[in-house]
This record gives sequence, C-alpha cells and structure tokens, in this order.
Amino acid sequence: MSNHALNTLLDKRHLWRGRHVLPPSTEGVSTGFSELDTHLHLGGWPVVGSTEILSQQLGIGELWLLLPALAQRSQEGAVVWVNPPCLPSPQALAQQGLAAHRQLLIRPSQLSEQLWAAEECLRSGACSAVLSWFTTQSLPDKQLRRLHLAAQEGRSWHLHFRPEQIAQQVSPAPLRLQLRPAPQALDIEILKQRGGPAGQRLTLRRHAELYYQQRPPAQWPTAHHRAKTTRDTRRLPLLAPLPSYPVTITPSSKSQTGAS
Amino acid sequence: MLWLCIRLPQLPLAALPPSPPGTPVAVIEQNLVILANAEAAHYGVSPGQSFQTAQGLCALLECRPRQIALEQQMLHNIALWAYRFSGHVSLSSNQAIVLELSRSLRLFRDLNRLYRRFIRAFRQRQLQVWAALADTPLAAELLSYQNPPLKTLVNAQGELNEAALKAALAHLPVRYLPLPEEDKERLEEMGLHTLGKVLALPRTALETRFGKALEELLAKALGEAPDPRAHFRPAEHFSSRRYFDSGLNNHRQLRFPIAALLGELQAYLRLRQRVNRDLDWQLDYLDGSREQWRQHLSHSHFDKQAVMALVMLDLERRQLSGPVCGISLHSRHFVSPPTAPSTLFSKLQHDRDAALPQLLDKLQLRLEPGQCVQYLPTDTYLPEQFRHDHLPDRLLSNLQSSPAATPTGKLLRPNWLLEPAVPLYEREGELFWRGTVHLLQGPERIDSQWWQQRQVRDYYIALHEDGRLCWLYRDCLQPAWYLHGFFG
Repeated sequence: MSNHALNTLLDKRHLWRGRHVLPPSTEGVSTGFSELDTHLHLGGWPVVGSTEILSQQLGIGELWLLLPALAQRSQEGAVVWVNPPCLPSPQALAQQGLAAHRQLLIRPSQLSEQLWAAEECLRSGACSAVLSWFTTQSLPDKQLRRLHLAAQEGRSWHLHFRPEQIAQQVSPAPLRLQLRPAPQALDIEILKQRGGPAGQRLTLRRHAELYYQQRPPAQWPTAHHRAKTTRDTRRLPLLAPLPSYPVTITPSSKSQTGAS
Repeated sequence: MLWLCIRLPQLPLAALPPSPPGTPVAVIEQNLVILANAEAAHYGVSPGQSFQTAQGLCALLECRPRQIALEQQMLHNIALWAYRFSGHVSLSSNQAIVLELSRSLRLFRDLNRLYRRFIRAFRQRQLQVWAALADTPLAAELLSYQNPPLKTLVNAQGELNEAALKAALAHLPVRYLPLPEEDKERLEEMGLHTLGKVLALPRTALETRFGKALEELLAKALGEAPDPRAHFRPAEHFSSRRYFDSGLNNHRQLRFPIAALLGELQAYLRLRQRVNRDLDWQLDYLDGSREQWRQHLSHSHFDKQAVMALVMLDLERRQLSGPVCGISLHSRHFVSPPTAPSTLFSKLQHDRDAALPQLLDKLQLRLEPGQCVQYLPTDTYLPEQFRHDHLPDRLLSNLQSSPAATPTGKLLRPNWLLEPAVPLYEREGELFWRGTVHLLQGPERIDSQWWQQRQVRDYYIALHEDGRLCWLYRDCLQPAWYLHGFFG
C-alpha cells in the first residue's frame, strides 16, 4: 500500500528517481566556465526551457555567471528582462559583449501582468532569453509549468531568479542552481538537473581585479599627500600585488579633502 | 479572348446603408424614382415615377437620395475582389465590371467552375448580379443586360459556344446599345428591334444614316475593331465598411465583421505587395455618435490571425458606449515588405526578427507606457545617464539583428545599477548600508557635466559584509557617500 502512494507521486512527476541517470549529453550551450560545464549534465546551459537560479540576494555574481552565455544568445534574438530588482547597466553589459540596444526591459506593476508579459515573451519565439523576477515569494506549480512550456514552445531560455527559501519546493524547471557568496568567489550548488546527478557543489573564483586591495585612504596617493612624500609614492604601486582577504579601510573625510 | 461582365442592377440600393427588413425603399435621383426594392414594388412603385407619385402609392415609402460615391466605393471593392480571378479587370459603366478570363481558365479548369464561384460569392453577400460571357468586352457588357443563363453560351465541355453567342447577340434589343436616345428611337421606328436585324443591313447604308458611331460600335462588339479597356488600379488607400441592421452590443459580435474587414485588407495588401503601418478604426453608434481610434502595427508581414488577436486585445479594453450600427477600417500608410534573407542559415534569426514586432505590439498594447523600454546607448560620462527610452517605431530595427557587439573597454563597471543611488551612513569611520561595507579599491574619478551642474565623484569598489561587491561613490562637491550598484 505504501508503494501505491509512491507510484502516485511518480505518476504525477512530483518525484524523480535518482538512479535513472542518462548518459551525459552535449546539447547544452557552454557556460563559459569549464568547471561548471563538466558538472552540468548537458555540458552547459540548456538551450530552451526554464532554469531556476536561487539566491538570497542580488549582486553576488549571478549575472557574471550568466553573461558569457547571454552574450552569445543575444546575437540570436532579443534578451528580455522582466521586472529586474535593479537596472541592468547597459554600459557594463556592452563591455561584456551584450549588445545594449537588444535588451528589452519590462517592468509591469502587477503580478498578473508580469506573468503575462513573461509568458508572451517566452512563447513569441522572438526572444533568445528571458530573465524574470516576480514580486511574489513562490509561484504556484501550474504557473511555473506554464512558463516552462512557453519557453519550450518559443525556443527561448527562461532564467527564473527566485529566493533561496523555496529550494525545498518542487519545481518543473529541469535545472535548478543555488548560488551563495563566498570569499572572492561564488558557491554553486546544483539542486536538480534532469537526467543527471544533483547535489554537486563547486566554487567559481571571481575576477581578481575586483578584489585588488590597496592601502588605507590615509595613504592614498592624492595630490595633497604626494606633495608631502613625492619620492615614496613612486615606489609604492597603486594596486597591491594580490589577493588577500579585505582589510577594513577607514574612509575619513579628512584625507579626502586633498582629493577634491 | 474571353470576357466576363458582372452587372449589378441593384447597385444604387445595395450601396446604401441597409434599412430595417420589410421597409419599402426607393432610391430617388432628381425627383424621380430610379430603383425600388421588392417591398416598394409590391405597392406599385417602379423606376421612372416621380417622387410624389411614389409617395402617393405607398405612404410608408422610405425615399433615399442616390449616393454615387458609395456606389463607386462598392464597385471598387468588387473590382478589388475580382482581381483574384484575373489580372485584367476594368470598370465599365457605373454598374458593371469586365474581366478578361482566358488566362485564368487553366487555374479553374473550366468556365463552369469559375462562373459558379463568381455567382456563389455574390449570392453569399445577397447581391443581385447579372453576368454574361462573350469574346469581346462590349458584347459581354451588352449581353449582361439580359443575364443569359450560362448554359446558353457555354457548351458541356465548359467552352464558349460561338454559334450560341452569335444567336444571343442577334436577339439583343437595340435599346441596350450605348447610343443617343434619338438614334435608338429611329432604329426602332425602322423596325430594327434587335441587333441581328441591324447587322443584317449593309454597313455603308447604316453609316450614311446613323454616322460613324453605330458602325464603330458594331465593329467593337463583333471583335472587328480593337476595344482597349483601362485596367482597374487598386486605390491608394484602403477603406472598407460594414453595416448592421439592428446594432451590435458586444465585442464578440464585432469579431466576425472585423475578421471580414481584415480579410479584405489582406487581399488588398497582397495585391499591392505592401504592408501597412496602422489601422484606423471607426465605430458608428446607433445614436449617431462615432468613436475613432488608431491601432499601430509594426508587422513586417501581414498575418491576419496575429492582427486579429491584436485588434481583439485592443477592443477588449474599450467600452462600447451603445449599440454599434457600423464599423469601418481605413489604412493610409503603406511600406514595402522587407525582403527575405538570402541565406538559409540565418533562418532562425529571421524567424526571431519576424516574431519580434508582433511581440512588441502586444506588449505596448497591454502595458502602460514606460513599462516596456529599450536601452538607448548614448555617449555620456555619468553611469545613470545611459538613458532608456520607450519603444518607438524607429528603434525596432535596432532591436532586430545587428552586428554583434564586441566586448570593449576594461573599465570595471557593475552589472546592476541602483536608480537613484542610495545614501550610505557613515558611523565611527565605517560605512553602513544594511550592514557594514568595506572599501576594496578606488578611487576612480568621474568629473563631468561642468557645462550644466558639475558632478565630481570618486568611485570605489567595496565589499558588503554579506559577500556582495558594491559600487560606491563619494560626492566630492557635497561630501556624502552613495551606493550606486552591485557587481552582480
């Protein structure tokens, strides 16, 4: 009788058997990070359908992770940002290879409009990728499935950003990743991937240039400071050799007066 | 050559907006009845009577002035429709069109099938039509007054029967000939009641009595002299209209006439090989008021289903202020459709670009203005001035395929921008924003806009205690710290 309940769950596709592992395929599009590619069953990001990105907050490196693939896709069609929590910076996107003018930003005010817009964009076949954020914590399973199907129909990649708390909920997305910030890196945990093993954790190092550290502001080579110690500043490199964990720097308004 | 003439004897009546069923109606021109419908004829009203006589015969008679412009419009629409059967359509006198069919015969296999399709179309629209086939346009025009049954002119194989045609022409009364009235009276006085009797006389004798006109007419009818007809050209603007007897009250009922109008537009566009930019709709209400609106389209090709969905989406947002008695569609601006891609490999790309305008139309229709924007790359120094803009038509080409962007520059810029920048608190030498923020590197000086309001900012990259990389700046003119973005 206990098997009966289990079978019901399996029939409803609420459960997925871990031992049913398919041989690795190469249908995916490279993520741009070889380490991540090897862990992904498809050998990269899926071409169509929903992909869930779970994280506690934005700004930990989620776009950095996706940009190599997005830059490639933006050449095939428009990239739509549905209701992003901040403005994607066109200058930064252009620097990383995303044509700034092929980005479409949609910010409907109501949840129903957001869902409608996301589904229309996915289904239209005009967008190579749709990145979506919704104003609610968790969407009903039915809505998620609709979005996934719309993405498949429109041959579009749906990137759905969701809060970390819903990691334990079921979702029809074939690929789910959880992102967490790490010192000078990004921690990735693969929560689920269709046809492949899940649960792997890996850490991707972020660009070292971002973490260059320098001396406290009191020693910054400002004009005022340089006037006092001209000889020393030449010998001191502006950027420290690299990378040690951040030292607390005290910004003091006194030292800044020379800079302005 | 094979000519078909379509004559609409009831055109002055059919072109007028419909009256409630069962009403006796007469069309009046210069105080004379020129046409009466079946109900009016029942009371004895007939063409040629004066207005007063007709009123005397039937007190309930609805007298309506003739509207030549509406008749012309209707005839144009029929000519437009007939264009799909033949490349050579010409408008003959006010109430007929003539088509050359010999080249279309292969498509429709034989005359019977072609003819049946014609007649069925008119029957569906409940238009009375007379038609005739002949080997010259004039003969077809003349015969159409008699509306001969098809089988008298066409044999069992679906070919024109020359002998029958000659016989039909011979029996044609002379009063149908396009001649001055006095000439026709003289012919009848001479006992020449039919065309056959006229043709039996020596031509030279006819010429001395009636002049060149009759001689030329006969030569044209028999195909002995050329009879060039001007080709019908579709109008520069599209305009069509539908009327409803007793008013439509909801959107669902409007669906059918709208689909019919769009179908007409589609045929028109195909004919002219153009695509349109906007649809001008007008609703006429029973109380005499009107509502007009323009619907913008950015389609690169006209797809009736997609446009229909858009129109219904738009219509759903409009409140009908009463029963609708008429709907009309106009379109004035046309452009040439873009050419298909030359390479097979860019098919996916082409499909995506073709789908994009439809998507944008939908989004713009449903969302508020400003909720759907596209970035405009501009040359500017302040990060927040990379403006975004609404999606006007001209930017569309931009959003479609263009040369791939190449990664440029090595400036460290955050992917996320906060708009506006959030003030940071400074406490005991540390910066706070939902936790402490540690500076990592900087400053990068941005000094700009000295021509307006000068902005001097020192930008820093900083690490938030929860692991995020932030982009901060210190305003150097009014010392304060702001959080401006995240390295997402």
